[in-house]
Amino acid sequence: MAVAVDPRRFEELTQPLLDVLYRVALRFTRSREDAEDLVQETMLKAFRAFDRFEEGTSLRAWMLRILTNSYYNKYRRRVHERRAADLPADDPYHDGLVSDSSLEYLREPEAAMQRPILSEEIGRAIDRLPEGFRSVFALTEIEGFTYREAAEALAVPIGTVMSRLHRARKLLQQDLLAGESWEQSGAGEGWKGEDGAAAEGGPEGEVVPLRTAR
Amino acid sequence: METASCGWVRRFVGPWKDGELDPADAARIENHIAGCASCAAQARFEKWFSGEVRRRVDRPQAPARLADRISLELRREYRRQRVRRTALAFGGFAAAAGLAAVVAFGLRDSPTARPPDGVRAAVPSETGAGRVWPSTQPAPPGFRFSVAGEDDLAAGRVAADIVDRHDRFVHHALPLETASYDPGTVGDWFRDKLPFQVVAPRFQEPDARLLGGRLSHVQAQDAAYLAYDVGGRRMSVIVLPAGSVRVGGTPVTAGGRTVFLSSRQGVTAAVVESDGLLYALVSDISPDTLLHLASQIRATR
Repeated sequence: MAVAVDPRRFEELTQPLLDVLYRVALRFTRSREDAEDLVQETMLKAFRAFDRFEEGTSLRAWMLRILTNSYYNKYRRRVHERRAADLPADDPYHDGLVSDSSLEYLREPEAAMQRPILSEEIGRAIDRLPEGFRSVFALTEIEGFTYREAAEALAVPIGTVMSRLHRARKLLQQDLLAGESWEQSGAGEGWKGEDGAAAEGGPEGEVVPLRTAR
Repeated sequence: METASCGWVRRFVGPWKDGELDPADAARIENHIAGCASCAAQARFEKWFSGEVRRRVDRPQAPARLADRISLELRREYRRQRVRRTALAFGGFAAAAGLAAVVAFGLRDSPTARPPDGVRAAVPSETGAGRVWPSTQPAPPGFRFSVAGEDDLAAGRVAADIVDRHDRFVHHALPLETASYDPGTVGDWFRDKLPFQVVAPRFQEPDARLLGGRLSHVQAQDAAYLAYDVGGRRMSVIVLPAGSVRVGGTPVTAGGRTVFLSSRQGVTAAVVESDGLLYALVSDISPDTLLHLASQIRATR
């Protein structure tokens, strides 16, 4: 049986992580109620397993790993969405995720920078991202995780974090700057209906050959 | 150094911007964009886009009620673990069952959870017929209320909320939304405003007079706030559905009722349940007076 941890001590350590856990849960579930349930479940599981946490490693990544596993075990079963993240390619244009008509901003980046982006549009566009991209984007771009931490939290290789982040950024740029989500453009047709059972738990094609600094 | 192509740079400008490339690869990108206006513009664009997203994206905080829920669950889980471990240590089901009963009733095994001797002697409803009222006497020597299970953060937060509502009223920071001496009128004002029927308590003592009420909340739970004048002192009565929040306190019997007493920041709270409603009386009047008033509460008109 696990060694009982003093709940006050546990709360002291995990309290600073509550907001980030909640925000990531919200990105996963897109429901405040489900996000609260998911965070509570995560905290309880972490409390029960706290004697297995290795001192000196990232508590934030460990907690996020528990949250991610809980989410996929419980909530993902009722989520049916396109699984673009399961695709092996790493280039959003050649993936077909980014359409020809939406590439104007890539040709004129300076002009694109003049366009205002509204806060509420950003939230909606992130929520429209395919699931695997959304989680990587939320952890790295919004919460400031390093690629290594995000890889630990999501149980995927660092290369996968890199490629998904790259694709997520391109999809968001298309959505926010060209006003065309990948779903609306029809560019991703043919990718729906995959169950993606291995997408988050196991390695996918290593397509980014770079070493990481950390 | 190996020359980088535009295609390679554009593919890895993101990780470079994020500081995730090793120094050699980062240098390749920097050398390339120093001489390539198109890739430099692309790099500026990627930095701008990330900056815009980070600056403008909504970052909601976890609601306070979530922290409360988690605190409560962690403590329950901790108690369950202790019971299980003790049961294993004793090797018998009976030991586990006994401990579980203690935990379930919140009595704990600490003598500090029992009311001090002075409490029962100070209960006017048991001894106080003909008593001069309202009493302004201080609590008897050695008489100290403590929140049973002060480690219970959920109960502590509820207590803090209740005392806060009283403080705000006393300091005129919480104006009344309905003003009337009549409990029936004030109770009717809450109809359709709260998901439960509010019954404003009537007290036998003429010096305890209702002033009015307002909508309030304790943690995330909607509540009715009632203001009373008790012999020139202010008393708050907060009404909630029974079981909606976790409250702590020392259980004391008064007038055949169990009242939970606690003290915080110089005021006393007496909590009593009646017909599905929880009444929290808060004031700096003497604890025995508060107990006496609490013992009279009946949730009937």
